[in-house]
Amino acid sequence: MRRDVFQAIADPTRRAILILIAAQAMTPNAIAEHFDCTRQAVSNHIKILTECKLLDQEQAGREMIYHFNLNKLKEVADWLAPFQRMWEERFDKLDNLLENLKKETK
Amino acid sequence: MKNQTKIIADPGKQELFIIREFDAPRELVFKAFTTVELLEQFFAPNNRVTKYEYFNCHDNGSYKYATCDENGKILCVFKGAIHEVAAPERIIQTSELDGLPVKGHVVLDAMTFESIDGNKTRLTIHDVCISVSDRDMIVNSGMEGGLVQIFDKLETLLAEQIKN
Repeated sequence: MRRDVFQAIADPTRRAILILIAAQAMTPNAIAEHFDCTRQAVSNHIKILTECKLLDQEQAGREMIYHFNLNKLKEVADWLAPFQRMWEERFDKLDNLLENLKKETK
Repeated sequence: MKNQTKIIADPGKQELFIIREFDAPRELVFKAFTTVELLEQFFAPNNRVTKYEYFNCHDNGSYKYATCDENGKILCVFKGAIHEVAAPERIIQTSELDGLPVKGHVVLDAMTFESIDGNKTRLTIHDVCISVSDRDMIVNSGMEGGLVQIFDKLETLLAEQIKN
């Protein structure tokens, strides 16, 4: 389940959809208007995001509205870990770079 | 023993902090963050390449860089305005993911370089977002990192660390 969430947000279009819906709940048509890809492709992304519960569906009359489920993201254990890992990788490289720069300036 | 990276992202806040010490004088650390050839050597996470389109590193300056995978495929592009470059202690800039369908998800990014014990440096990156959900999104998605790969790699890295 946890892996599903990460896979869902690894795709740039799905991240863009999440950012869009985080700002405002939307219908699938309104979402699709923001993207160049086909409605079919967008609706497939929405399906994946809904399946891993990052989006909540709400029936409003004849239309379906999608909400962003922030709590789902927060459920992910160690939510900081990947972000921290990314910065650690950068800083480890910087450590090596600084060692080289120190040798050069000596 | 490696210097630890500390991330502070309190729930419900629009800000986050990234804090790390380096065993090098702050002039050198500052240089690494203000020289494009050096930035390109370290700023990408593993198996990624950072390539700057432009980097006008001075007051009222600007920057734009792409993070690519090993095959050169662009994964994401970040750009921003550089507000202040106060050598060797502070850089203040904005940062925005390029190509989003909605504009305005911009981050204020203040980097402070403190000299400690003469030959060490403490770097504090203070990011302030437009909204709490933006902040959470940045932390959660690891936008620049390519989360899945990082995660796949985690076990290997941990195993290596245990060996060392």
